[in-house]
Amino acid sequence: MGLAVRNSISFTRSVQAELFPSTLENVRVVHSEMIARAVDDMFGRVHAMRSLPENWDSYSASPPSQAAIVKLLNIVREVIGNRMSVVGSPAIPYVVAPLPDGGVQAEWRCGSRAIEVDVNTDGTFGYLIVTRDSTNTQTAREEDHVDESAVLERILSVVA
Amino acid sequence: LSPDPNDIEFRPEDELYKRLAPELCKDGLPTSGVYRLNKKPDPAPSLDLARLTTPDKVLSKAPKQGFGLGVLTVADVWELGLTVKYEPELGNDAHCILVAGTAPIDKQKTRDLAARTRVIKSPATIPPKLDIT
Repeated sequence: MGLAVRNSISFTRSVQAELFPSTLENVRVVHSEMIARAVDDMFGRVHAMRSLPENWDSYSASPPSQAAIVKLLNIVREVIGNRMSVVGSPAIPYVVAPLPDGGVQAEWRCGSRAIEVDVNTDGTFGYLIVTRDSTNTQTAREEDHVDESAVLERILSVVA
Repeated sequence: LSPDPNDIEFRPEDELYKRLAPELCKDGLPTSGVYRLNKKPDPAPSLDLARLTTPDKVLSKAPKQGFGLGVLTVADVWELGLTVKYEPELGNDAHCILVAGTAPIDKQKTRDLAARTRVIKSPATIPPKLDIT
């Protein structure tokens, strides 16, 4: 294994251990390769977000704010802590991504429902919940400038 | 010289190119972040009118390797209740923006736009796949 690869894996593991000790313990207990891969993917994306320059999207985007990233990770930790034992891998965001205005976003998917959560640069949160019924009809509900406890409640209602 | 904005008449089959930053894609597909508004003076999502440019020319404006390229049709934009506005800018005669029409560009619309975007050049994978040998 190359040195760069070993360093990358070692970095990812150390950040995971620092931020998600109990989650890692859960991962060990569950022994799920799928969960471990999803966690690795999420941290890889977070790591990539931290060093984005101005104009990273080629359309004048601002780099994601470090405060927004930390807030997002706090929410992710809460969701994983609350739901990993209930739903397994859907407790881990399907995707985390930067937003062009300096905020960050995570999306959870669970069955026929999905929730996109935005962490805004002003410290507030926004969300979009999309639900598909048995006839594949889609309904959506969105809100902006909500606080952390409200957005966590919405995520937990979807990831259930 | 750019065409006069008044001379550009959009047709439903017109195609619009969108650069896809790898950070905004998952499994090779764009997320809603691709079409999210920016807080800059020009916050509207930008695209390039395909008949006035080429994929290579659009991708040449990417700041690094790994960008993908997506295509939306004007019909897609109209069906979502949005409008395409031709706004040529210095160095880009094909530049257009999406603006609210009968509907606002809300979170759901950006998700719908991403879902309708056809990827013609796949973006790089984030995080990079590790080549463990």
